[in-house]
Amino acid sequence: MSITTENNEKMITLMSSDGEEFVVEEAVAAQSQTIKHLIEDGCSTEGSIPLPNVTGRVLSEVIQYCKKHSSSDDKEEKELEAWDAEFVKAADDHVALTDLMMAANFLDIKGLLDLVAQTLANMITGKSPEEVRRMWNIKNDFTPEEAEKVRKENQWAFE
Amino acid sequence: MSSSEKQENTSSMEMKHNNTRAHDNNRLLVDQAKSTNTDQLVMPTNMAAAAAPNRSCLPPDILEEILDLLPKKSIERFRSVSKSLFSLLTIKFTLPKLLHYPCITNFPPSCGVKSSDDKDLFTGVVFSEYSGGGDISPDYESSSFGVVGEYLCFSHSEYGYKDTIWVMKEYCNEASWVPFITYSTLRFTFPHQHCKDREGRVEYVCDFIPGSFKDGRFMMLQFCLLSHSSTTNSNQGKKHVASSSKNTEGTKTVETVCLPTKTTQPKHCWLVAAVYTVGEDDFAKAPAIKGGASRCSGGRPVRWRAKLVDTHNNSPSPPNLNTDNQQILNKHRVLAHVALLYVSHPKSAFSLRICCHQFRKLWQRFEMGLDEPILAVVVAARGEEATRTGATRGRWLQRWWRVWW
Repeated sequence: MSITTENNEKMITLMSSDGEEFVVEEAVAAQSQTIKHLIEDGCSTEGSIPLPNVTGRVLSEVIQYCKKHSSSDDKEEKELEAWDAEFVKAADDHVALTDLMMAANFLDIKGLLDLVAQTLANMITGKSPEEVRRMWNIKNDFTPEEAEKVRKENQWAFE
Repeated sequence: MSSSEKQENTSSMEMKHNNTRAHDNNRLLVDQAKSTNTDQLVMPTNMAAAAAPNRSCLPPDILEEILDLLPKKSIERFRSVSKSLFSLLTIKFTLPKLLHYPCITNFPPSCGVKSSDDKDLFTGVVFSEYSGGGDISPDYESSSFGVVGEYLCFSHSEYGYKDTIWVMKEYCNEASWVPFITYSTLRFTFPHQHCKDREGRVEYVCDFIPGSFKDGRFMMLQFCLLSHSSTTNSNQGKKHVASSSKNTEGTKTVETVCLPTKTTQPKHCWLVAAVYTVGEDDFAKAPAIKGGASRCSGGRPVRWRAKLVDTHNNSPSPPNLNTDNQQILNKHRVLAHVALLYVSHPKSAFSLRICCHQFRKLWQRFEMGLDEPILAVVVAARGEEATRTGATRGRWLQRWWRVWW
């Protein structure tokens, strides 16, 4: 659904996968290329825009990010960087960050995607394969022999 | 083909692979190449993960975003996290480095060729450190190029050999560069060397060296980017009709497939590259390889090899696409070059380096629009150093490539 505020700002409603609705300014929502295209295609005029891949919790974080970035200009770059750093810090752990990243990916918000990717990359740099498996519940499907072989091939990386 | 048929064919393929390659030291990488599943690279293995609805799996594109930002050491270390991650890292980092082509990092994992019934056949990149060489085509003497085809076979083995073969035929043109792919696929599929078409007729008798898979003589670091789009469907319904010419040569029978040239037009460049090592002994003892090698080393163009950039003349001369080659390319509307960069001496760092340089130059020409796309690059090395053990050889070449690209 699309409504207009007194300030003549167009508002749209986003619906998360768990049915939570968020009414946001179109300019904020349009930070997401996915939503932007939906708006351009007229999808926002027929009720709320459903976002089946994003939960309410994650969507609220995404909206928070978009609000900040839609209201800031280039002059505030440093301030924005500091805000970004705090923002990802608040995301708490890699699980929340992964969810956020998947949402950013789905919604096509490049800035957020880069930000979270960098945070996750920093998080896993230096971790052992086993730690990475634990982080993302990756099954180790190598046989011991195969694992040894791969490890040998890349021995230098373990030294 | 129904899914059950696919499964059956897959099982059949795998069984054959197992039989053929039971002694292969490099089985691991072959399997990894076959098992590349780019849809679900990271699957949850516990309830906690399943409980997180947005994180039921980490899609490859997400993972790639993260991997892009990692230091090299972490990347190498993470190869041993899982097979799927191994494949992804190989695709993402090893291939572009080898090919020195940045766009490759962004290719879609599912890009590929569609079969006549609109199924995806090529699933992207297939990587393996294993392959055999051999003169797999009696008519084309494609010793080095057989290896390329095998990767096609790996890449869609899940669809079963029949589809593989027939789709390959779509790209066949009796005098084009493509048949080696078909032959190789057949060779790989039929360890007993007799290849039959769908009606059960013996179609090809492949000439290869049975021992080549087992004794570790042949070792290859090969990578293959398949970025084809589908062929035209104008010949729908007819394309599976085989054979209009037949060529018998001693015990070898070749039945080529003649298809209208227009069905062989890929829309995009198809890039295949390989590092290929062959021991000195192989050249001496193996008739088929010897045949292929002598043709290479002599620099004499044979039919299909006339289309190659053959630099194997014991001197690091630049590639030379002569007029004849170009005419052949034009005549058959071949949209890609096959560049054979042949290293004459295994211990000569210089010569392999030259090869890399030459390929780079070729590629630049293509990028500038001066040349046709490169279909394949086969870099072959031979000699003592390259024959010790398969793994050693692979690593040896890998290192070189890493250093120089």
